[in-house]
Amino acid sequence: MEDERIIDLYWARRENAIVETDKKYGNYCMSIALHILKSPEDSEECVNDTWMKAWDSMPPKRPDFLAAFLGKITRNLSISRYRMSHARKRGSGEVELLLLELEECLPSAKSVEEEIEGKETAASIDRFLYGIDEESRKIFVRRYFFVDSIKEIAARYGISESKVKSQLFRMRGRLKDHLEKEGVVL
Amino acid sequence: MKKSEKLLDAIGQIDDRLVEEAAREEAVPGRKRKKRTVLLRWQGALAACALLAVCIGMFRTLERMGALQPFTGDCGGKQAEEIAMDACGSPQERAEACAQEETPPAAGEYALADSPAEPAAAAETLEGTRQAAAESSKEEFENNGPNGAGQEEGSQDDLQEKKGALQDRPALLTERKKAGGKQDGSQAEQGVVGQEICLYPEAETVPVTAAVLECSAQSLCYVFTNQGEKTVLLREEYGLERMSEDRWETVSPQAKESRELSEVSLLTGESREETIFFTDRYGTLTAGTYRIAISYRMENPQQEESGIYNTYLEFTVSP
Repeated sequence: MEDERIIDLYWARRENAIVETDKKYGNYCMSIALHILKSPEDSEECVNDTWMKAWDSMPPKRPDFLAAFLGKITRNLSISRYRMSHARKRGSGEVELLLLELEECLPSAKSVEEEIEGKETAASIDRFLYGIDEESRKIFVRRYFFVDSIKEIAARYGISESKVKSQLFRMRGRLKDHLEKEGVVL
Repeated sequence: MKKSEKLLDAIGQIDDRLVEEAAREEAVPGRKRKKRTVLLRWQGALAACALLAVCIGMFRTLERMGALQPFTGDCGGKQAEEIAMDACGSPQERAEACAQEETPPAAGEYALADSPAEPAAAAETLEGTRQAAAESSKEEFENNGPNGAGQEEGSQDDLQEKKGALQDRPALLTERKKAGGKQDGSQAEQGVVGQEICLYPEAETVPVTAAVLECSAQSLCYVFTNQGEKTVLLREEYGLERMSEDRWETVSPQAKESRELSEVSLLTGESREETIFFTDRYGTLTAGTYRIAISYRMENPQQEESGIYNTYLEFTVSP
């Protein structure tokens, strides 16, 4: 089914919207989650949370790129889950875990200032990425958004792992210069 | 929150187009690598085609170079075999070429056209070469053979030498020697020494007649008629004998025959008038009774060569 049709189902509040989304983007979202969490069970939960978040977001949102929209949700949910998981493993104590759990109950843990800073940083990164060549851009996004391994990226684009590493190294340096130039302070 | 975590979150908010661009590859995993593989496959195929083209070009060049070599007539050689194969087209013709081509063609004569795409022209050229070789062999035989036309005054040694040489000739030429060997005893007694023309026997049933029209000490004019059922080939060669003490003795020629000998074809019932000038070979004849041995053979399409026969024509030279 076409993305537009799926979005229409969400907007029509039809439950089969989730079925169609899972059918089309289930593996895609699962792959993103697995790359971050490395656990099929956690990933599956994360993907289910993605469908729920998408259900809540549409409407009012009507994404131009459904794949990117769903991928972002999955990634961010997976990273949050990863943080929770690692906080537990680090043995920071029940208090930190409790705080993380309670964080989910709050509308937003970030201040308005942090929210704006985050969006400005993202916009700066966008400009950086649009300023480099397509292959480097894709490699960067595959590595830092989809969390692909060096080996996977090399296999995906048919280049050597050393070339991927060197390209990422140069891009990190250029991104640092770019962010400094634009006055982005993290 | 660490700086890196903040950056990780910021990356999570990048433009959807960038995510879509990178995710689009997800729908077709390994697309680019596959493309490269396909390209490599094409490169391999192209390389193979290029190699094939180079090989064909080299083969053609070598083929042409080989075809332009003079035909040596050596059928055992690879080059001659290839040329004969290209030109004749069939094993039978090649075998024929091997059998007949003892004598090489003239210098600069090429047995094959420069292109295998012209088999007819090549075959025609080879056929011409064959004919030239056959004629050359025939001429050689006639000049040095038993007719005595190109022969020095016959000694027994020379005769033996020529007989030995005859054994090395092709089958076609050796047959003539065999035909000569079938003579009867009376023929052998009639002065055969040094005159191989007299080795030709008389036919059992004589299909020809010869009659004197005019004779003198210098020349003889006679008419030769084919009365048989087959075409007769009259050979422009003769031997001369003189009656001495009731037997025929060969008159030894004083000079070689200078004219080129050939055969004249006479159909059934056809006649031909011939004039022989004795002065060319024998000088002026003294008075006496003479006879000339006129040689002929009958055309026989079934056999390559029929036997050569003599017929005799007597005449008298007045003092």
